[in-house]
Amino acid sequence: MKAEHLAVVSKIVAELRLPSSRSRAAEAPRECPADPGNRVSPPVIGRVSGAFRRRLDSANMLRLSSLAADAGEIGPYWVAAASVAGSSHLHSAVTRQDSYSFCHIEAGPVVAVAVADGLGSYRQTSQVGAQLLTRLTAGYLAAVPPAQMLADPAGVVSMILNRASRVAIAASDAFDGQDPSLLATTLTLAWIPAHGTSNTAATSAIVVGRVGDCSAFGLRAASFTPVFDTCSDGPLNVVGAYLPMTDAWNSCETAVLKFNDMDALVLASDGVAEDIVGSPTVRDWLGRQWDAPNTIRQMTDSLGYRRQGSHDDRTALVVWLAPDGPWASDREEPRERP
Amino acid sequence: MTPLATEESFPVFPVFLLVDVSQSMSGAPIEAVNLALPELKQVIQRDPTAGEIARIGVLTFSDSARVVLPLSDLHHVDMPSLSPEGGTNFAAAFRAAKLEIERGIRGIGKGTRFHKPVAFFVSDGQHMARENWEQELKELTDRSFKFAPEIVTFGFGDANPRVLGQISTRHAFMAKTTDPVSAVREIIATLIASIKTTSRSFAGVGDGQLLVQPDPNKFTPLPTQTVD
Repeated sequence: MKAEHLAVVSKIVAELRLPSSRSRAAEAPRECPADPGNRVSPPVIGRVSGAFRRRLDSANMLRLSSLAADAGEIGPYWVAAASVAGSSHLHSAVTRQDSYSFCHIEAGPVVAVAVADGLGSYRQTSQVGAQLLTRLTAGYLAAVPPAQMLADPAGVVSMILNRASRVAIAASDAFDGQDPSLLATTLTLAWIPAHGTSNTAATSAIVVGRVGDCSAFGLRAASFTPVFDTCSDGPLNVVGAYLPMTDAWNSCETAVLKFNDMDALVLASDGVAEDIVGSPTVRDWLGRQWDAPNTIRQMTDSLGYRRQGSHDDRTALVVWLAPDGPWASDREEPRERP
Repeated sequence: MTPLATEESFPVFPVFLLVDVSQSMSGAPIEAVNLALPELKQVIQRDPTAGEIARIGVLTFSDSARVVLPLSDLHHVDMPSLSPEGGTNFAAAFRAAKLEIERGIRGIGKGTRFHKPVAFFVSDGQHMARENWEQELKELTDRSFKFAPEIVTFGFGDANPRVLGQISTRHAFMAKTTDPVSAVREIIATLIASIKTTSRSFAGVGDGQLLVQPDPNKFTPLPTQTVD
């Protein structure tokens, strides 16, 4: 690695370093969601092919694993996320290019989450952009206090995307050609106050933003409500905005949601969002799967449905918004799924 | 706000073949097309991505244009057999294509999501009718037309390279061989490969755009031009 590349890496590492976590205060033990005894088979919708090959992107040193998943407490919330390589990616030996990240500084005021979808046109490198930009934006967002965010949500989100983009553009210097488009990715993010159920105005709102076709949904009683317009009525393959960009202001959509309007917030790459919007069966399946906090296995299984024409990477991150949810120590056992 | 689909539908990639069946195609060339169409069906069916999303329609044109295969899922139809007819009227082809592309996509079902349609235009000759084909082409490709296709042109024999460049929206090619049967085979093989790779491009492996990659030893790429 060249010296200038090491400098770039050092800069990124510095950007990703967060304030030291405060020592964890003594807490009452919590009971986490548990896997139900019987696994429920995901649905198969339409005529799906069994002819997809599963070829790993073995020549690509920047490849990601075909599966990433998490489930657990982040601040006062339960969060589960999974990112799964699409059948078309595996068939073509292209690495998973979606990514997710989250950040909460211990005892801090905010939980920040992000989901990104690296552009397929940069098949060897865009996943690096997705990883880097989700981590940076979540890290920056987690440090934004409620007063600052709620005074100008669109401005703050744009500023954070610009800041993260600058680091990504610097990182692209490490690649041959030094083209920032090598890291091209769409992204959606959410800024969630860590004490959202308190009744103060400053903590009653969630800010969601996106660049490009990643999506966000509110989930209440197993029913999805899109935060943004997920699709026009025109053709699907219309190129939209993506990061990194030097000025995100005109390309970033921002929405301020009411905390109490949903049970959970879902961030999704287009591989999942298109299925939520276009398939009542997928919507019903995911609504039921995500009706209560998921374990890692449940979250991964939830994305295991098969739908005709749905071959892209799938990534979803769900934040269950009740801080006093069923995983808290004084709550009942996790609900059994039907 | 985005409407959530209330009925099950699947994203589709609409592909249309506009095939010249003028008299000059009679004999071996049209027989080569008729041999290649079942092969197209077989290859598309076997490909996991294209097999799920591609829908194929076939139109022929001579003095007039006909829909010989409405936009279809190839798992459920037999490929048509084409017959040679009379002269060559590009205007009729574009007019019929505009009607059929809209009818075909709308016919799949309300709320169905679709990728940008592609029309592969295959001809061995030149426009011979009095009608103005440029105006019909403009209406087909006008940005205000929600179903406006990308047009890829393949020419051989007496086709005019300049006109092929004008008709195409993105890619235009002239077969290098003077043997019409070989040209037809290569054209069909190239458009089959394009349907497969483009389908994968839509599924996140690529830029989501039309991909056409003919063998440079067999085709001459033509500059695309805009009709005035």
